Amino acid sequence: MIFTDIIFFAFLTVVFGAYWLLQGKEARLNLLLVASAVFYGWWDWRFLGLIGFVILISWLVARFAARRAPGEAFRRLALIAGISANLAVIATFKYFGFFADSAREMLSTIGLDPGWTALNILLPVGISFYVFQAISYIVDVARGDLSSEHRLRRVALYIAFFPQLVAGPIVRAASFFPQMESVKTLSSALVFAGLRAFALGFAYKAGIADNLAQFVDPVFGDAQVAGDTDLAAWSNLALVGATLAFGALIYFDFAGYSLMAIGVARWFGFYIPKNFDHPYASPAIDDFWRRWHISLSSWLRDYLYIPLGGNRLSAGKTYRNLMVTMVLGGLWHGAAWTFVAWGAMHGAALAFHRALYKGRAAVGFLYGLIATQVFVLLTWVPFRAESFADTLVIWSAFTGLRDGGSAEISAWVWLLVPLIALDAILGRGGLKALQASRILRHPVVYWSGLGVLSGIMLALYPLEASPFVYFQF
Amino acid sequence: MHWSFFAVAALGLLLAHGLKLPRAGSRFISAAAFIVGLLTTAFLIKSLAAANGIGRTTDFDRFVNAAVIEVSQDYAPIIVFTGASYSRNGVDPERLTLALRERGYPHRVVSLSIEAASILERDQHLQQFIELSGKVPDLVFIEVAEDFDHRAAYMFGNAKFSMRAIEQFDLPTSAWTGFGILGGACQGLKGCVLDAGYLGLHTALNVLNVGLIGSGERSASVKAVPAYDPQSEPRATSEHTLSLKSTPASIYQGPQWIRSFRYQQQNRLLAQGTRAIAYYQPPTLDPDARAYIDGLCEGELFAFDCFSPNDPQLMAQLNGDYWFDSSHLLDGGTAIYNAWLAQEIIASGMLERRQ
Repeated sequence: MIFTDIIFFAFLTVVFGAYWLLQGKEARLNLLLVASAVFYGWWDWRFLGLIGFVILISWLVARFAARRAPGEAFRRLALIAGISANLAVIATFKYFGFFADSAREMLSTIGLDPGWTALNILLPVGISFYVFQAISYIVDVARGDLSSEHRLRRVALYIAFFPQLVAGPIVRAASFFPQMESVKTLSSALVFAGLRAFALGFAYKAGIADNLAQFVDPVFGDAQVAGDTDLAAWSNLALVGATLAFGALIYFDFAGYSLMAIGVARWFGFYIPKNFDHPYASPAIDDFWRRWHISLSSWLRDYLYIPLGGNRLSAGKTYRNLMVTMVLGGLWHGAAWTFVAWGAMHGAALAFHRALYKGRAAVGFLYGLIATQVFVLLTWVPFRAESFADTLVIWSAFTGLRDGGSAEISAWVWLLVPLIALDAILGRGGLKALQASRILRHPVVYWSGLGVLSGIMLALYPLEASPFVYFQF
Repeated sequence: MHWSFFAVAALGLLLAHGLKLPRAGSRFISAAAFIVGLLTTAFLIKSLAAANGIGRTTDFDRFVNAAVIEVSQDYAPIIVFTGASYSRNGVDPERLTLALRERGYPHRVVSLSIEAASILERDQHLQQFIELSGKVPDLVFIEVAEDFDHRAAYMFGNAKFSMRAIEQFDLPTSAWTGFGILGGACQGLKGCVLDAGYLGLHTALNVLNVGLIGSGERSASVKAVPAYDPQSEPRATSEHTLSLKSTPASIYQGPQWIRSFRYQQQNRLLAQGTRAIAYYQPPTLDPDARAYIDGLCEGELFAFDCFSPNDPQLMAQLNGDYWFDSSHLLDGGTAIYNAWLAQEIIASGMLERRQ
């Protein structure tokens, strides 16, 4: 069940209706918990046990830690145990095969045959997101930043809240728990605020992102099928165009999902902060990371970079911390060395930028924008390519030094550049006068505009929907 | 993909970013404004798509393009065979062309046939072929089968809500299908209600252009794939004992809706310049299915050339390992049937007959 499926709209309608018909706060929260279990179980009910385990461990550990005095060894031990248990879950289900394969390959290069074959473990959808939420809860309680929640159901709903369960945004307990206690009233403002976020997200995901796979998949191959690429056949321009299309696809796909999650949560009276802020208009790499997948980058900052020492130590240690954070951030995206390389490149770029400019404005906006976005585009290649060999082929296409094939993709792909620019201009307050205009709030203008938007979305709706790219992470 | 995708997407982004909280107003006026906005946009997008030849891409478009390429390289008179799966497996245009040319007839045969295609869907793609090729077929062979005549919305038994199902139910096709359902061309009360419901939904999805720009392509740029789909091995699960017994044919007419459709199709094709229309059905193991076309040939289609497979000599030749399943021929069976068909077409004199 994904947000653009007809079945999700039926599910949402039922849950929304029942939620606002119920009067008591507890009844509503219980309904959301049941709905979240149904939503998650829709993919594979067997993984309900896994998320249940994560919830239970996190609740128990936080309860235990909260009863110990700050600084007490048992409290620290509880923290380590809680984090380890959660990391063990993610390591088993997401990284076991990767590390086993890597170890086997390494041993075979020195002539040793370990004789094991990696287990093919099914990746539970959304595991990276809910495990990170669980860890942040345990850490916040153990640090004393948050009081422990004694009601298991509250912790369960925080970790499993269906709008953000499978692909984020990663929500912090400190912002979510108080919202569970607040009194909620259905109002037109709430409905329209949700509609606004959901409609924009739907436009991003179903209107744009799903239609870009036709530029990307023929060149890069099916992301789920190894070894199905034939890059030699494609011209240099086709490889560059497909990379551009992937950059647009992953942005519109993930930002679209996040916006829809925000809109759905809003309809139930919950506020989830934004996850993207037009990163393709960033003039510097540090600015890019303040605007791309904000909930993950801030999580990595608060629970990894700062505990490592952040920038409070020597310059060398700051660069090391940046590298470690970004390499692990890369690995978070997928169990493959290409993701590690992607993270390492961004870590190196952040360190380089820091060393060069030390927080000052870098070059002029335009130069900075071009340099940053070209770098980001180039790093999407290892992120999406199936191997380092493919990455090198595509990078060589960017230089024009490669003898390309003759296969082309549609030349219309270049229209993505003005489309992304338009989105950034609108999202960053361009046409402010128009958006602030009272005429847009006139009921006839608003409703006919919504009719036009619906007509457009239906025409753009992909008849064969694609799953969200970030589900695999 | 087409440039119009980006234009429409840009407009969508403008609106999605621009729309904020509306002021309170009359619910009636708000609903009317929404519907007017939606329908006007649907009309404009449909017009834009039509002007640029954009449609939802289906296998049928691929077959049409293959046929267009075929006739673009050949100035011979064209014979179009248009049918469903019987024809997709049972009519080999190359074999038929060769058989006719060996006997001195220069015609080029093409096939526009796909599984579960009603006469209405096939007519849409026949018109698409005429438009894209710029050539009117000299002869048009139309497959008839009882299943399609007696279930106007046959597609819903096979592929609901698919690209192909949504694409075909434009307003004229929906009107003809609705006429058929109203006339009882459906299966029982429950079947009729379901077909009518699905028809309404598919028509709405078509009118509102669902997927038209996102999944659509210019018909002319769709990859060409020949329609003929030769089968070399019998279907694993099929049992196919040939019964040469045929139910005696009675003189028969199709239901009112299909007779009306055939009548207007005949007039249109003849007005467009087609010299003659013929009806046919590839062989099947079902004696009742063969008897149905026998009856039509003697009845409703009496004035037309009509090629029923209910020829004992033909069926005797097909008494062996020639069947993919009970309704479809293997390639070897197609070779026998096509040789017989070429002979019958020549014998009918329709290749030489003047208009």
